[in-house]
Amino acid sequence: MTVVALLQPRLFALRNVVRRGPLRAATVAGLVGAFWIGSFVLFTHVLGYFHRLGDFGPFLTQRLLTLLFLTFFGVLLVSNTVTALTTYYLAGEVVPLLTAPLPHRRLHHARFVETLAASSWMVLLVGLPALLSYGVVYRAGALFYAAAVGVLGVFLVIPAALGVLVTTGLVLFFPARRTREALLVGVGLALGALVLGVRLLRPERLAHPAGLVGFAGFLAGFGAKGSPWLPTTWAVEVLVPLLGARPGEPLFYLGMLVSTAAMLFLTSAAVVERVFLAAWSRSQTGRVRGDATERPLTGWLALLVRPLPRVPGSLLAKDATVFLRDASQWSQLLLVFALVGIYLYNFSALPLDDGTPLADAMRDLATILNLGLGAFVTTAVAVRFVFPMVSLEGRAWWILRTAPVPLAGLWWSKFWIGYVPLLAFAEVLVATTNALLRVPAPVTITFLLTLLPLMAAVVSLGLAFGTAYPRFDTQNAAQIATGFGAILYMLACLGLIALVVGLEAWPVTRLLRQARTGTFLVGDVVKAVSAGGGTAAVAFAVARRRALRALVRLEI
Amino acid sequence: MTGYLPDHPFLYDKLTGLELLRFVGSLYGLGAADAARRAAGLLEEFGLARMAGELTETLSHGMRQRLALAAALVHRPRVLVLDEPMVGLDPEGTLELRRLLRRLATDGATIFLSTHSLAVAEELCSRIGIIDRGRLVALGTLEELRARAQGDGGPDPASLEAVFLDIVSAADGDETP
Repeated sequence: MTVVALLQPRLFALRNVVRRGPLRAATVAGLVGAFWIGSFVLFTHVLGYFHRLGDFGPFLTQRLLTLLFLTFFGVLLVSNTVTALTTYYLAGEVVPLLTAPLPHRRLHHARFVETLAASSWMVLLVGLPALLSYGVVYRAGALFYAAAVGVLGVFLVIPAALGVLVTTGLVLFFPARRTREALLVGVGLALGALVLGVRLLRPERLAHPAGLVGFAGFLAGFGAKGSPWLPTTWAVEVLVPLLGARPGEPLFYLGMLVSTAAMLFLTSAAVVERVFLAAWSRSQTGRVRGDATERPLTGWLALLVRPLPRVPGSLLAKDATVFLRDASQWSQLLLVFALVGIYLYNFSALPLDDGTPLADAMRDLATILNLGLGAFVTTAVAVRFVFPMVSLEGRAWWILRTAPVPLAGLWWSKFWIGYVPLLAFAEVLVATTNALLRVPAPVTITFLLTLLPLMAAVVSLGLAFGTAYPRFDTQNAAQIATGFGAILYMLACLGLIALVVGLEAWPVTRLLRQARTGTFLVGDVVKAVSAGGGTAAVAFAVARRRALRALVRLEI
Repeated sequence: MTGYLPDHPFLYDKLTGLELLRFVGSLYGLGAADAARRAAGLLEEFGLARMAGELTETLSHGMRQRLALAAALVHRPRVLVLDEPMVGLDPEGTLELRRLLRRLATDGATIFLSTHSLAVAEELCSRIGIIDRGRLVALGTLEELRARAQGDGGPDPASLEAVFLDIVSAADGDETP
C-alpha cells in the first residue's frame, strides 16, 4: 500500500464534502480568498511603509522577515507536537492501519503528511501572502517567488519532524491524554502571553518616528546576526539575497535547509518505525489506578447545584464536570482573558481627553459602538462555548434522548448554562468600558438593559446553529467552533448586533446630548431599549423554535 | 419506564462510572441518595466497583459496555430495549449478562433484544421476531416459527438458524415478481 493510497480516505472525504455541499465549499473558499487578499494588501502596505523609511528601511524589513520565520517556527513546533499526538497515537483510524499488512515506516510517512497539513495550513495562509508582499515591495524577480514557495515547503518539514519526535518521546513516558492536556494548557498560556506581549509593546508607536527608532533598535538587538544553527536564519539567508537586498549564498543555505529537513524526516521515520507499537500501545491506556473513590469535584458541584431543579441541576453539574476536566475546552479561556485584557487596555489608551470637539465626537461614536463591540466580543466567546454545546453531547446524545426529559427542558438547561455566564461577561465588559469612556449613567443603563435580550438572542442563535450544524466527529470544542456553521453563526450575530446598534443609535445620541445639558428623559431610555431589545427578543424566539425543530431531527 | 442500550453505547468520556450512573439516575427522576445507592449497587453487580472513580475514557470496551447496561438499568425499567448487548463482552461478561437478563425477565421485566446471533435469541428469548429488510416477517415462539417454516414447504428445521433461513427465503420469494 503506497503513501498516496493511505492518504486517500482523507482526500475522498474532502472530495465528498465539496461534492455534497458545493455552496458551503465555495463560501469557505471565498472567505479564505478574502483573508488571503486582505493579508496581502495589509503586508504590502506595512512593508512598503517600513521599506521607504530612509536608510534603515531595508534593514528593518529584513529583520522583520527573521521575526516572521521565528514566529512561524515556534507556532509550528507546538502545533505539530499537539497534532502528532492525535494523528499518530489517539486517532481511531490508526487501529485498522495497524492491523493491515503495512510497514510502520510507510504508516509514518502517511501520518507525517497528515500532521504537517493539519498543523501548517494556517502558516501557509499567512506566510504565502507575506512572502509575496516582500517580492512586490522589493520588486524581486521570478526566482524569488519560486524560492519562497520552495523554502516554505522545506521549512515546514523541520518543525513537523521535530514535533513527531517530541510527541513519540512524550508518549513513551507519559499517558497520551494527559500529555495532550498539558500541551494544550501550555499552548493556551503561551498564546495568551504572546497576544498580551505584542499589545503591550504598543505597536501604534511605530506610526511615530520616535517610536520607530526605538523599535528599530529593538530589532537591531534582536538576533542581529541570526544564529547560524537555526533553520529560520537559513530560510532568511536564502530569500534576502534573492530579493536583491544584499549579496549572499542562497544555494548554500538552501542546501542546509533541504539536508536538515531530509535528515530530520528520516530520523523521525526511523524512530517511529522502531518504537511505534510500544508507543501506540502505551497511549491507549489511560492512567488507570483502580480508583473506586468519588472525586472531590463531584461533591463540590453537587453542593453548588442543590438549589436548582433536578434535571437542570444534573445537566449543569455534568456539563461543568466535563468542561473542567477537558483541558482542550478551558485552556482556551486563557486566550479569551488575554484578548479581554487587550480590549480593556485599548479603551483606557484612547486619546479622548484633549477637550476638542473632535474628541467629544469620537467619544460619542465610541460610546454608540461600544454596545456592539461588547456584544460582539461576547459572541466570539459564545462561538467557542455555546455553539459546540450540542455537538459536545456527541454520540452520548442517546443518553439524553432516551431519558424522560422533554427536548424543551434540555434546551432551557443548555440556554441557562450559556446565558448566565455570558450575560455577566457582557454586562461587566460594557459597564467597565463605558466607565473608561466616562459615558453618562442613563446610556450605560440603556446598554445594560439591552444586553439582557441581546445576549439571550446570541445564546439562542448559538444553540440553533450548533444544532443545525453539529459535528460529532470530534470532541475538540475548538475544532467544532471553526466549522462552517460557526462562521454562519458569527455572521448572523454580527447582523443582529449591527441592527440593534443601528436601532438604538438615534435615541442614544439624544441621551448623550441631554447628558451634556444636564437633562435626561426616561422615555428615550425606554425607546432605545424597546427598539433594540424588541428586535433581539424576536431573534431569540425564532432561533429557539428552529433549535427545537433541529433537536427533534438530530440523529447520531 | 423504558431502559435502552444502543449497539455502540458512547458515554461521556470525562465522567467517572459513578458520576455517569448518578447523572442518568437523576434524569429518570431518582433522588440523589437513591441514585447514589443504586449506582453503587449496579457497579458492584457488574464488577465495576473497583473502577467506579475512573473516567470512562480509560475503561476497556467490555467495561464500557457493562457500564452502559448499568446505565440502562439504573431506574429499574420494566421494559428494556437492548441492541446487540453481547458485542464486545468477554465470555465471562456474556455469561453474566445472560444470567442477568433471565433474572430480570423472571422478575417481570419485558426485554426487547435485537441480535444477529441466532444462538443468543434461541437460548434467551421466549418470543422471536424476524425482521427482513425492515419488515417484520415472522413473530412467535420458537415452536410456532418451526411450525410456520414447515408450513412453507421446508423440511423439519431443527435450529433457529434453519427456521430463519426458511422464513426469510420464503418472504423474499413472496416478494419476487
